[in-house]
Amino acid sequence: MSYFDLRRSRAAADGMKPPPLTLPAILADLRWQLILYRIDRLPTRTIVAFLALRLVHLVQYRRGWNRGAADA
Amino acid sequence: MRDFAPIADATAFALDRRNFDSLPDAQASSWRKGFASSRSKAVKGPRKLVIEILNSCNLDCPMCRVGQHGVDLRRSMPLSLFRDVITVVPSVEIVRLNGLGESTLLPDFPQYVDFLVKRELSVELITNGSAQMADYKRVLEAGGHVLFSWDSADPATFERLRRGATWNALLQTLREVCAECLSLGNDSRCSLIFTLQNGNAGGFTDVIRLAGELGIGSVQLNVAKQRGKLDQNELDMIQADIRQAATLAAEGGLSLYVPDQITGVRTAVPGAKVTSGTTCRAPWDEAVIRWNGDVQVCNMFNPFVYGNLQRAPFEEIWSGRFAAVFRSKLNTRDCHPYCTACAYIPDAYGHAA
Repeated sequence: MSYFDLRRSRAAADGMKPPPLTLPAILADLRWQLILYRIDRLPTRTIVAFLALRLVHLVQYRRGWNRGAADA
Repeated sequence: MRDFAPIADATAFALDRRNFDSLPDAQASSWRKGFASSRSKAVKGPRKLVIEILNSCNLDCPMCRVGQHGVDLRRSMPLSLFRDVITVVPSVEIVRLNGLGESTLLPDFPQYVDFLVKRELSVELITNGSAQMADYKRVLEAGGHVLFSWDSADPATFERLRRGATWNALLQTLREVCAECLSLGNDSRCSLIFTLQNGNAGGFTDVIRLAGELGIGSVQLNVAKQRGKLDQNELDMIQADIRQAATLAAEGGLSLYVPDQITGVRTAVPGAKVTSGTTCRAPWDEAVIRWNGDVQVCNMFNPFVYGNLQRAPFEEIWSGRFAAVFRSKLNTRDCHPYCTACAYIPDAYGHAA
C-alpha cells in the first residue's frame, strides 16, 4: 500500500462532521490541543489564548458557522 | 539545528495531520487515543542511521518518481548539517546513504564518505549505478558496502523500470566495481537489490545468474509497496522464480536475502529471512533522517514522521510521543498500514539492525 493509497482510503464524511457540543467532547478536544501545544513548547499565554479561540471555534462550528448558518 | 532548507511543516500540530489524517478513520482514532495516553520515555539510541543526503535523482523510475522533474541539487542536506546529524547521534555504528534520491549526484559526495570514515562508522551506499567509478572506489576503500538497485537482467526491462538509465553503461560500471571488490579481496562488499514491482515478476533468477557471472557476493529481494494484492497466478510465478533463484544461488555460493513472505504469503524457500512484516524491531534500532530534517521510521520510508531536527534535538524526537505511539502499535493488529506485509530484511549483510 502506498502513501497515496493511505490518503485515498480515508473516508472524509465522518471527519467533516462537527464534534458534539458536550462538556466531555469539548474537554477531550481541548486536552488534545493542549498536548500538541505543549510538545511545540508554546508560551503559557499563547496556549491559553489558543484554547480560548478553540472554544469559540467549537461552539460556532457546532452552531452551523461552517455552513454559513444565519445564527452563527 | 535550524539550517535545513526549506523549513518543513513539522510542528506537533502539523504532524498530527501528516501522521494521523493519512490513516483510515477508525485507525486514526485509535492512534490518536494511543498518542494522548503515551508518554515520552527514554529509548536507547539507534545503531543504524539511514540518511537522505539528496532528495533528487537522475533517473525517473516508475516505482518512485522522485526524478520526474530532473535533478535538483538544492534538495540536499549540506555537508555541515550532515556532520551535525552524525555527531548528535552517538549510538550510531552504521550509516546507510539512501533515500528517495541518488546520493552520489552531490558534487562533494566523497567528503560525506570521508567524514563517516573519520568517525569510524560502517558505510553502506544504495545507488542506481550511474555514479563515477571514483565515488564507488572511495566507499569500497573505506571498507564500505555498495548496493546496486538492479531490477532486471534484461536490458529492455531494466531500461523501462529505470527510466533514463543505459544498460550498457551501468553494466560496465557494475563490472568495474566487482573487479575493484575482487582486487580488494572481498566480493561481499558489492550487492544487488532486486525490487519486485509491476513489470519484473519472474526476473529474479536471471539477476542471480548475472550476479554469479560478475562474481557478486550477495543479492537481496525487496518488494515494492504493491497497489493492491497480487493475484494467485502472479504469486505462483514469483514463488517458482524465487525457488529457482535459491537453487542457483546455492550452487554458486551466493548469499541470498529473500523475504519470508511476499504480500503476506509465505515464501516457500529454505533460508528465507525474517522480514519486518513478520516481526519488526526497526523503529528501536534505526532511524531515517530526510534531507529536510524530518526524522522517520525505517529504511522502507514509511511516511510516518517522529519530528524534525529543525524544531527539536534528536534524543527528544527519538524518545518523543510520536515515536512512542508508532512503536506501541507496531507488531500488533493496529500497526501502521504501510507496515503490513513489509518485505524489509533488517539483518541483511550481517548488520543486524
